Parts: sequence; structure tokens; C-alpha cells
Amino acid sequence: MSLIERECRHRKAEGMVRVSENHVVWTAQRASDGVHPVRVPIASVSSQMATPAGAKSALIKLVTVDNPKGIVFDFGADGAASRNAVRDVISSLLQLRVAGSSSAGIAPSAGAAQPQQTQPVPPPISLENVSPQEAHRRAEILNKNEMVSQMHAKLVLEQRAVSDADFWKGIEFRLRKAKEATSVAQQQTSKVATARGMPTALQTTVQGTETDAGTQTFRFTPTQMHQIFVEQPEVHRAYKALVPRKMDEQLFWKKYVQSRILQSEFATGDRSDMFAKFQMEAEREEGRELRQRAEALRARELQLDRRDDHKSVHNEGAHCMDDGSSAAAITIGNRKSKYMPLVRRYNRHGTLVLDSIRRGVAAASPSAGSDADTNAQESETAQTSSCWEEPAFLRDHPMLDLEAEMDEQYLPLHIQNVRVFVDNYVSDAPSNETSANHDTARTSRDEIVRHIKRWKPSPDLLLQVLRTSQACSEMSFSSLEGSV
Amino acid sequence: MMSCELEDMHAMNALRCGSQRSGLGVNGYASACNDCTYSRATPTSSSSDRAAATAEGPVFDTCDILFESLSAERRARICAAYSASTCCTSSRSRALRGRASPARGARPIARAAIDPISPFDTRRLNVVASHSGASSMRVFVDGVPVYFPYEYMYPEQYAYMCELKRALDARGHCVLEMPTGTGKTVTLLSFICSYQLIRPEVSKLIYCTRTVGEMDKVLHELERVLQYRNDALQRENSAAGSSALVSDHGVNRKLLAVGLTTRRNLCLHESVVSAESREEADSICRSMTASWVRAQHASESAPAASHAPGSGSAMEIDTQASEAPENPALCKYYENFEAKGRETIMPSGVYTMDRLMAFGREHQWCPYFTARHAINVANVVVYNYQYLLDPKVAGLISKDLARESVVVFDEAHNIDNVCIEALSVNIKQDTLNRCLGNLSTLTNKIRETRETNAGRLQEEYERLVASFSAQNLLPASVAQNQLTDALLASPVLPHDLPEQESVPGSLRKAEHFVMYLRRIVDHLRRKMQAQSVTQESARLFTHQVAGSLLTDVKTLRCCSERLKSLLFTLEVTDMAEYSPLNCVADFATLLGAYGNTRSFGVIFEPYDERLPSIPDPILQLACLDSTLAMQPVFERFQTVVLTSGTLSPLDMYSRILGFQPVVSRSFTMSLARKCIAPMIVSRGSDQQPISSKYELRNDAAVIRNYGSLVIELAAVVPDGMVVFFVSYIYMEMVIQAWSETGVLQRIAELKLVFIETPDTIEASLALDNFRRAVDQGRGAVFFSVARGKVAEGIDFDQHYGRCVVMIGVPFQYTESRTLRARLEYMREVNHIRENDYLSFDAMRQASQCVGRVIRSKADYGIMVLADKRYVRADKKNKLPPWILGCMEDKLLDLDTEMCVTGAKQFLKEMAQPLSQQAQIGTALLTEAAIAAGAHMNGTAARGAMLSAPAANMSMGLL
Repeated sequence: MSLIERECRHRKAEGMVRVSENHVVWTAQRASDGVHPVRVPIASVSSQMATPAGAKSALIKLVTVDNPKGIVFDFGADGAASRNAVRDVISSLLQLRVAGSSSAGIAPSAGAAQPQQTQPVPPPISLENVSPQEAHRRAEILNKNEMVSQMHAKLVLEQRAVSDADFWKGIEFRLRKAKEATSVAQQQTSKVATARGMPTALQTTVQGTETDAGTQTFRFTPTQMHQIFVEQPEVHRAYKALVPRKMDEQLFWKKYVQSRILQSEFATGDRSDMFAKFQMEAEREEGRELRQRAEALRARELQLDRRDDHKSVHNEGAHCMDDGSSAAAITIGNRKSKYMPLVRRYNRHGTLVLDSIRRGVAAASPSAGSDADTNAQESETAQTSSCWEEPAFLRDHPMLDLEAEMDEQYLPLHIQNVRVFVDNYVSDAPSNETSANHDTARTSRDEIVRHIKRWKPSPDLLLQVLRTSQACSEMSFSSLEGSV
Repeated sequence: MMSCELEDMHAMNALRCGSQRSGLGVNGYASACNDCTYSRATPTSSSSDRAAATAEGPVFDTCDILFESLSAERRARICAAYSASTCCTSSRSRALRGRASPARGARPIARAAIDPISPFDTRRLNVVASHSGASSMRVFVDGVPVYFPYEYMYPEQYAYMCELKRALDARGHCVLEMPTGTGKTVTLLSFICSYQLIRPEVSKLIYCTRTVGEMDKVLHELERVLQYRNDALQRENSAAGSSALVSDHGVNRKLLAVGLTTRRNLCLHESVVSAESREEADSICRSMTASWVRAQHASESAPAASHAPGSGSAMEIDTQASEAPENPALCKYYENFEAKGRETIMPSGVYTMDRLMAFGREHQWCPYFTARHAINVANVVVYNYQYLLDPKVAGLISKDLARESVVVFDEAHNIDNVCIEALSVNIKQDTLNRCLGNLSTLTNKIRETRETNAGRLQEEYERLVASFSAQNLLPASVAQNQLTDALLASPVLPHDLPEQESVPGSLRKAEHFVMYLRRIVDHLRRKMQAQSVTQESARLFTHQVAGSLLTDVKTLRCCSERLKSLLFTLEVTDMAEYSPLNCVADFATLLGAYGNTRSFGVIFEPYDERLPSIPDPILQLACLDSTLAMQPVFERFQTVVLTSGTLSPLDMYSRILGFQPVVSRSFTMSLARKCIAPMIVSRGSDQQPISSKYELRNDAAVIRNYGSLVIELAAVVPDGMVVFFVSYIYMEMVIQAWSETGVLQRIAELKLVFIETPDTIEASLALDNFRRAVDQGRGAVFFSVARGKVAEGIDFDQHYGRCVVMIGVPFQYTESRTLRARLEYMREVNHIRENDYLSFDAMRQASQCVGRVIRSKADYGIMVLADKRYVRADKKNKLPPWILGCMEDKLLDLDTEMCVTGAKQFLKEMAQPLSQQAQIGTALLTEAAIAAGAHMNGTAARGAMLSAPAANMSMGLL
């Protein structure tokens, strides 16, 4: 899983750089550019360099063991923000690598430990200026989100790379961004779902997978079943009537497949199987619905049955109907058997697709109390009569990627231990001291948790905390994985 | 008097030159003043014209006049003078008037007798712009002030008005073809409504449409036209100090316009509205409104004042009914109409269908009978062709319309088929079987009546004995209850029924007549037992019938009227039940009336030739001559306008319909951009020719190529797309094949698919859903059939139809014996070759189909004619000029890929913005432009218009 993805150029080819926990991978957008993908293991990165702010182009250069000249990624003149994001992630990974190697007892290289000794090590956790609510919230986050917990343990408690306050500042910032992104995504998703409705294409024919001994296996997903129910009302009726009272679901679908195969092979529209009865019911129901809908047709020019035909009065009436003629007999026979079911299937499918959109819009439209039906009807009418227009969410939320990149707000991260970000850093601290620090940190953390558990806030405060914690628990922390 | 007029004219010109009204500068008026001419009256040739001229005042040539700047008195004088001038100044016009009027016994004039005029000829076109509103204009067309309710006018609309005026002035008929989407309706309505102000004698406009939807559109458009016209006149009157809405001629400018359609569409009663068919609705209505039904209920509710059925006069019955409490068995709307509406004049205004229904609901009057009652006094009547062309309906509805009316047949490209259909009768086996049932029922009813109320039958018998005419055998009381009691008229045209011809004695007694009908039915049943196809002349068949029945032709001729009388006497309300017997009676009547002419043929087919194994006997009395139904209309009304977007070749109509138009013109479309892309696809993607001809119809490669064409186009065309097939059977075959080969599924992946079905309700809903799908941006394809209900009346304008594909050439079924008989007749009588007519008919249908895609100049669409036969000159050249004009050579004879490439290119061009300003001067004319063009001389005006920025503007008359 990639921690971050950004567009950048490599060897003048457009592409995408992805940073995962172990690798930095760049792939070209078009294979035709002829540039092969680049895959750099984090473990092999010896140093990372970046152009200063305000430079002509935002670059990152990764020097690896195998490639001392470095691999350059160009984020473009306006890509400083993207570059910085990628740089930060790579830096944190490098830091983790260093920390991991140090904790595993890897011997640090000589001459690199001097500056660290001069840096004051921040206290593991400072509870000054932290309200009980905030402390409770932090504890919740640490308990629920393993990723944050691990980071906290590594960056704050073990390595003391950042202070506890700075760590939580960063977490706050990420949480806020994640919340915003989640709410926008939810908003868009809900609107898209109502606007898209059903697919235009019809359900394709039932096809099984061939197995041994000439048997075929048919698999129905819930989506396929739903689609079948929508497109074939008789099947839905049969399902409701028969399952599970008279047969189990598997047998029902087996009979359905048999019916479909027989229908397609013998080209008969009239089903003589268990669906026949339900088909007749569905057709009757459909006929009634058609008449109701026809009554509601407002556009007079579309009311074909209300026309003054040119047909002479002599040749009108029941005795002149084409039903009795031989041509009509053949045609009607043909229609009944194959053609009309086909036509009705397509016409009904179109109606269903359109109704699904209309229902979505009607449901989304605000209506309350006794005005609910009226509002729904109005919205239906409006939907029927109004022309298509761009969805609101597209208008309200312009695509920022297509516009000039905006300056993102970054919180300054006060790094006490700069050496953890420096290449070739090897801690010269004795291993027993490190483990002692770890023990202290864990003890402190446990004390905090215990303290919080014992603490009894006032009811108002508790309510506020609960709200906050609920909001936190609903958030997705996936965006945090590669950001901190 | 003359000096006074001279003074007036000079005063007007001086006033005009000195005025500084907005929009037209002083120089413009000053230059116009130089064109002012004045001449003395010319002596009129006929005494009547001279008398008219004397009564109306002196005669002078018209000049540019600003009516607003004159006093009311002087304006009135000028109008009178203008009227006299256009009537009498031109000897040519005078001659036309004298000769074009059939009432004066003269032949129609030759077309060559009239010179085509230039629309910008200042001698005849005097245009003055008024400045009454930004969204409308008033222009003078050959001196007629026309109130046009839009800000801009298309050049072809202006030219159309000029031609229309020529026809109206000449009191002759005209054929005018103007492209779809160029505003024929508003042009016609604006001009004729304005013309009525100048010519009060043209009191009525009868506008015939094909469908109810079109009827409503016309009424809505008329509402707009009249609104603007009345507002403008009101302003002019206010300026003159008069508040009355009265024209300079004293004509009341308030108009009554009403539309008439069937009971089912214009009824408020629930049971009639919910009826499944027209016949059923009519029967239900009749069962509640017939005079005897109402009399019976009146007698039940008021026994003291009861009258014997049939003995009381209709007025007495009406009075009782109106005073009686509401009876559920009667229609309360009709009762209220009888009580109050019949003697009331409807308020003036334009009654669209919705408004008429609302009016009926408000007053609790039946809208249908209100409309029926109003059409005789209305200034504008809008209804279906049938009300004028079908003798049975016309004799009932339209017999009292004035001769001076102007009749417009809109979308008249199929009018010959309507005429043929109106006089043809088809009898099937089922018809005869039901006839026997009808006869048994009638026999029983007669027996019952004889037992219960023999006086009624005796009264009928005496009436028939006393009758001197077989034209109308109903009693006089029916005339008072004409609206409800009168049945459909005789199928025979009025002038073909001898006025002094009594009912033969063998038919006077009811039992004898039923027996006579039974013998006719038996004869027809024997005839229909034959196993071979027969085609014989009406004369031979008539003599066979007469010989078999031992009767004469005159007796046959009376059948229809006699049956009507019997049904009335027996107080039958359910006319739908007796429609088979009516059908046989009409058959006999037509046979008796036209049995000795060549205009009819009798064809018997024991089976359909396409399905010879299944017996399906049908006996057809086929009318072969479309002039029969049309001639009475031409003779009865002084001006008949046939107009459509697809009338080419124009001369074909005059030959088929047997009339000589005084004006026959086809207009092209002036375009600022080429908004249609007609293409002919003759080959598929595999370079195999594609065609719907019989030999290739079942070819899998052809069907596949058609499928790939539709798929490819559906992938590139946005929004709506329409595909027309040549027939239902062909569509069924192709769609099934597409379904089996996966073509339909692939189309469905691109757009929603909707398919027309023969069931009208299903088809209506499919259309509605198609529109919804396009509105919502889904995109949809609609599969339909040429000559079907959709192809003939539904517009696929704007995004509803960005592309239309005509698959195949929509020929009629050429093996049809009826068609063959008609072709033979036309070859012998009209000298029209068979292939010419078949191609003409097919191409007008194809044009109609592809023409659905564009309904205005701002619209755009692709027209794909997918058949190799369209490449041939005999087909291609029969397309209307406005389509041919846009058909580039590079778009002929394409394959699928080239067609798709062309479509992409066209759509890319159409995606560019089109500003209205860019069209002004080319496709749009302003008041000022028209005025300026008119003030120049004709050549210069035309040159100026044609040299406008967009070079592709075409203003020419073809």
C-alpha cells in the first residue's frame, strides 16, 4: 500500500511517484514514452536532497547505494507542495529505518554521533497545558489507532524526535484534513449515487463457467440478482412467492437458469415453467401501470391514442381491427412469441433506469409532513420537464487539480533530534540507555492512561468528550498512514 | 374628392418626411418620399367591380404610409382607397378575380398568367416599420400591414407572405413549400389575421391539421399573434383618440378562435374520457345526449308534463330537461349547455384545448358541443382534415361554413392519401359476420317497436313517402337537435346526389329495408367465398350486384341515408355496435353513386399475398381518384392553401388533386450556418451495398451493416437519436436479428433503447421516456417506422434528435392490388408514370422522417439516408430543395466510416457558439432591414440582402 502518490516527471517523462513503506516507485503514465519504471528500495537510499523553496523547479534527488549520481524526480515549477509532501514521507521512512536499525543494535558509523549528544532530549510526555478532555481524546486515539500509537511510540517515546506537543499538533492537523476530505468525499459519493442510478446497458445473458464433465457453474452476485429482479418482474414475483417457503434459494436460481436456457434455445417467449404464472401477473400489472402512466402524460402531442386519425370512418371500429387478418395473425404470433417481449424488455428497462434516477432525486428532495407527496410529485415533474444540467457537486466543488496549485498549510514540525533525518546517521548512544528510555516512556504512557481512566469529569465535559471521541472514531485514518 | 385625396397623400408624405420617429431617420423618410406615386383610378371592367370601387372611393396606387401619424378619419379613407386599389387598379388582379372564382363560371387561370414577383419590389411591396415593441414587428407586405409577433423575421417568411397575398388577392388556390422549422404556422396566421383587417369579407380561417397536438400548437401560436395584433391596434386607436377595438373598416377586431376534435378529447364526463376508443366514446355520449333519451328521463322525472316519445318538439324537451334536477343517466354538462349555452355567444378569444376545457368546467357546459356550436360563428376554426374532406363528417360538421373562408391544409404532403381513404371502404369477413348480428338485432327491434309503438315506424314510412329527396331522410326535429341526433352524413359527395330523388318504394318499410340489406350481405358473403383474386371495375361489379339483387342502382344509392333514418326511428344510441352495417350500407351507397365511373375499383383478395396459406378475405371498394374528395373543397372555398415542408415536386400535387394553383412556390432555407447534414450511406463498413430492397432484405450482411452504422453513430452523436425503418415487419425482423447478434445490446450500452410498438399507449409512453432520457442527459435511441404515427406527427427537435437515420427507402407495398389499381388509374387519367409516383411517395415519406430532426434554424441535426438507391438521381432529386441544397457532393455515396467521420466533423462545427447577431441580416431580418430592403428598388434590395456577411444565405424562390 502506498503512503503517498504524486505526479512528477522523471527523465522528462510524465509519471507518478508512489512511496510505500519499503520502496519509492515511479511509473510512467504512458508506456509509449519508453521510460521504464523506477523502483528504489528505502533501505538502499543513502541520502535525499531537495531544491530550496523558490527554485525554478521542485526536485527531489535520491542517492542510493547502487546509483551514486542519484535519481531525480521533477515536480515542476508549481509542484513545491507535492514535492515537500513526498520529501517528508521519505524522510520519515528514512528516520524509521535509522531508528529500526539502531534499536536492532546495528553499529552506527563513526563520526556521526557528535551532534546528537549536544541536542537536549525532550521529555517523553509533558502534560502541562493539556486539558483532561484533550488528554482523554489523545488516549482514545492511541487506543483505537494502532498506526498513530506506533508512531507515537517511535517518534515521541523511543527516539524523542519530536515533542509530544508537536506530535499532537501534527496529528490534529492531519485529523482535520482527513475530516474535511472525508466529508467532501461522502457528499460527492451520496450525490453521485443518486444521480447515476442504474446502468444503461441491459443485464447480459446468463453465462456459466465450464467445469469438468461438461457441467456449468453459474454464480450470481447480489448485484446481478438485483438487476435480474429489476429487469424481469416475473422472476422477482416468483422469488417473493416461492423462496424460502416452497424452495430454497439455490433451487430457485437453478430453475431460473434452466428456464433461461430453454427460453433462449427454443426461442419461446411464453414460459411453460414455474415463471409462466408470474409472467402473466407481471404483464397484467404492467398493463395497468402503462394505462396509469398514459393518463398522466401531459404532452398532448405524445398522446398517440388521442389523435384524430385520417382513417376513414368506414374503416374504423372493432370489425376493421387487424387482429383477424392473416398478416396480422402471423405478425401477432411472431410478436407474442419473441418480438414483443424483446421490445417490452427494452422499453421497460429504459423506464426503470429513468425511474431510478427520479426516485433518487425525489427522495433527496426535502419534504416534510403532509407536503411530502406534493413535493415528490413536484420534483418528479421538475425532473421530467427540466433539461439535464451539470450536477451541483461539480459546480460547487471545482476540480482543483486542473487549477493552479494552492499553497497548502503545513504546521511547522519542530524537530529536536535533527540527526534522525540526516543520512548515515548512526546513534552512538549505548543500547542500554535506549532501552531505559523506552521503559521510561512506556511507564509514563501507562501512567497517563491510568490517570485518565481514574479521572471523572463533569457531565457537560463528558458530553463534549463523547461527541469528540465519536467524531474521531468515525474518521478514517487511512490518510494518516502516509502523511505523518 | 380627388383633390382631397391628393391633399391627404401630400400631407401624409410631408408628415412622414418631417417626422423623426425612432428607428428610421429623417433621411430614410425623405428618400422614401421620392417613391411616393399617385395615379388616377383606372376604369374597372365589370360593373360589379365598378360599383364596388365607387362605393369604396377613388383608386390610387399605394405608397408608404405611416398609419399612426394620421387621424383616424384619414386612415380610414386611405385604407378604403388601398382596398379599392388592390381590387381594381391592376387589370391582372381583376382578371384573376373574375376568372378564379368558380361561382362566376370561369375556368381557373393558368399559372403562367401571373408573373412571379420580387419580394422586395417597391412597386408592390411597401414596407414601413413601426416601433411598437422590441419583441415584435409590424411590416407592410405589398401594402398589407402585417402584425408579426416576433422580433425578427426569416427572409423566407417574408417571401411566403408575399406569395400568400398573391393567392388571396387572386382568390385562387396555392401550393407553398417551406422548410420545416422556418415558421410556416406563424407566418400564415400573422398574415391572414392581418389580411382580414384589410379584407373583412375574408371572414373565416379554416386551419386543418393532422393531429391534436398540432391543433393545439396552432391555437397557441394564434393566441400570440392575436395578442400582439390587438395590442398594436389598441395602441394605434389610443393614439387616434378612440378606445374601441374596431378596425379602420369598422371590422370588429375581436376574434373567436376555436379548435374541434373528438368527444374523447373534449369531454368532461368521466365515462366518455375513459373510453378506450373513439367509437365507444361517441356511443356513450350519444346514450346520454340523444333527444329521446333525454325525453324519456324528462318524462320519468316529471310525469305530469310527460310527452309521448317522438311527439314533442325538441325545444319542449330541451326546456324540460334544463329545468329537471340532475339525472345521473344524463350528461349534466350537455344539459347545462342546452339550457344556457346554445343561445349564448362565446366570449371572443382563442380557445386552446385546455382553455376550452376550463371554460366548459367553469360554466359546466360540454366543451365538445360548445365547440361544435361555435365553429359556425368563429373567425378561426382549427380541426382535422377529416372534418372537411370526408363527406360523412364534413356533411355533419362543416356544411355551413362560408365560401369566403380561407382554408389551410398544413402538412399537406399526404392529402391525396387522406382523400383516397375518405372514400374507400374495406369489408372483411368479420364485418359481414357482425352485419348478420346487426340485422338480427334490427329485426328484433323493429318487431318490438311494431308491438309497442307502431306509430313511430308508421311516421317514418309516411315521411319517406312524402320525401322528395333521398339526401336527408331524417325528420325536421333532428335539425333542431342537430348536435346530438344527427348521424354521419352520406358518404357520397353532395353534388353527386340528385336533389329530386325519392326513396324507392322497396326500401320504405323498415322490414323490407332490413331484408334488402340482408340480401346485400348475403351477396357479399358469396362473393367473398371465392378462392381467387379478382379485380374488376366498379361498373361491372355494380351491375353484378344489381342483377343478383334484382334491383337498380338508384336503390343502392339510398342505403346509407335509409339506414340512418331507421336507426333514428329505432332510437339506437350505440352506433359503434352498428358500424359493420353502416360500413356495408356505405359500400352499397358508394357503389350506387359511383358505380358507373372509373374512379373506383373493386378488389377481392382471399388472402394476403405475403401469407397465401392463411385465408383472410377482404373486399375493397377502392377510391382511385383523390380529386373526388378534394374537388368539393376547391370549389366551395375561394382560397385553399396547401402547405408543408415536403411537397416537392409541386406539380405532382396539382396533377393528382386536379386543380390549378394560382401560386405554386418552393422556398429554400436561409441559413447563417449549415445546420443540417444530409448524408447518403450506400455501403456498410465491409463495402457491401446496403439496401432494404426485397432481394437484400434478409441478407445477414446488410442487417449487420445497418447495425454497425447505428452503433457507430450512437457512439458519436450526443443526446437523442431516431432510427426509422420502412415498415413494422421490417423493423421487427431487423431488431430480432440485432438482438440475436448482440447489436442491440451494444447500442444499449451507449444509449437507452426505446422501440415504437403498434399499441398507441405503449408507443406514447416509450416516446415520453425517450424524451425524459434525453432530458436527463442519458441519451437514447428511438426506433420507429416511416408512415407511422410517430413519423407523421412527433418532432424530434433540439436535443431530442441530433441524428435521424432512415434505414431503407419507404416504398409502399408495391404488390398491393389497390396500389396497382391506383397506379393504373393515374397513368391513364393523370398521365403519371408508376415509378414516378412510387418514388415521389417514398421520398416524401423519407423527407418527412428526416425532417423531424430540425424544427428551427437554431437547431441542428444529421440526416442519414441509408440505402444505395438514394444515390440515384430519380430518388435524390425528389428530396425537397432545402435538403438538397445542404447535401454536399462529398456526403453522397458514403460508407459507414465516412459517415461517422462526417458526423463527427459536423458536430464539431455545430458545437461552436452561434450568436444571434451573426444571423441578423442573413437568416434573420429586422424591421429596419425589411424596411430598407423595401425602399430600395427590387434588384438592389435583393442584391443587398444576398451580399450580407454570410454568403450562404439563400433568398431565392425556386
